[in-house]
Amino acid sequence: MSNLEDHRAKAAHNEALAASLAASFEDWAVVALFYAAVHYVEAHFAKNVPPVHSQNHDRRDSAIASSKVLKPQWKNYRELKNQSRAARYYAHIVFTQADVDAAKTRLEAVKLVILPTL
Amino acid sequence: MSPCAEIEKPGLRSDSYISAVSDSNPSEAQDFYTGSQVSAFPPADHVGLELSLIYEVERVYVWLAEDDNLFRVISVVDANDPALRDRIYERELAIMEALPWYDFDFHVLPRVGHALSELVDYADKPAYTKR
Repeated sequence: MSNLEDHRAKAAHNEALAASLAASFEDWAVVALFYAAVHYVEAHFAKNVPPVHSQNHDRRDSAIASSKVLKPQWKNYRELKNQSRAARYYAHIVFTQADVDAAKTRLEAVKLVILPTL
Repeated sequence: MSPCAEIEKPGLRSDSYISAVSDSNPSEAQDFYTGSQVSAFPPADHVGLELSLIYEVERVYVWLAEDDNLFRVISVVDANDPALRDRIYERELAIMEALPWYDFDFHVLPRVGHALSELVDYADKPAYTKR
């Protein structure tokens, strides 16, 4: 299982990918930002003793909803997840730079809560 | 027996389709449903009622994944509006709080002017339809 530092590094990696995609592939930039959020959340859970690892997205959602720290960020995380799925599966929804910027704002809000806990 | 076995309908894709509140009226639902407490309704009914509290939600689809106590839920709206989605996410959280023994895979699908039948292959089987 990945540890806290592994998840932090992967989150930063995904953010860097998002930055490289943002100019031409706004949809995939949004996907990368969601997966950055996933790894920040997993880093938060990994610091528990013993560490907690979400088996899948659904279990992670339940864990967020029942977490005193993360529950206030449910809407931000959930929007990143929704946009990620829309970007991958719904061709009728066009993603723009504004969507990337909005996703970055949501991710920053999630990070603002998580990073002090790591 | 699963919580909703009595109203289970033939499978849609690989999951079981759960019929819930296709005859409900959102305004009526608001009269008797308060949310954020353990639900007395069957889970699929509860999900449909809670999400129907958002006026812009046109349809709700609910499936129970057979193996793992997981509900897959799709809320259909027209507008691709993050502020609207935020209101739906609040209701999703209330559902998770009321039914903590289930996991949920929620998704909000904006039609953006398209007919729903153009976007999905299950358009005619909602758990909730706005009247």
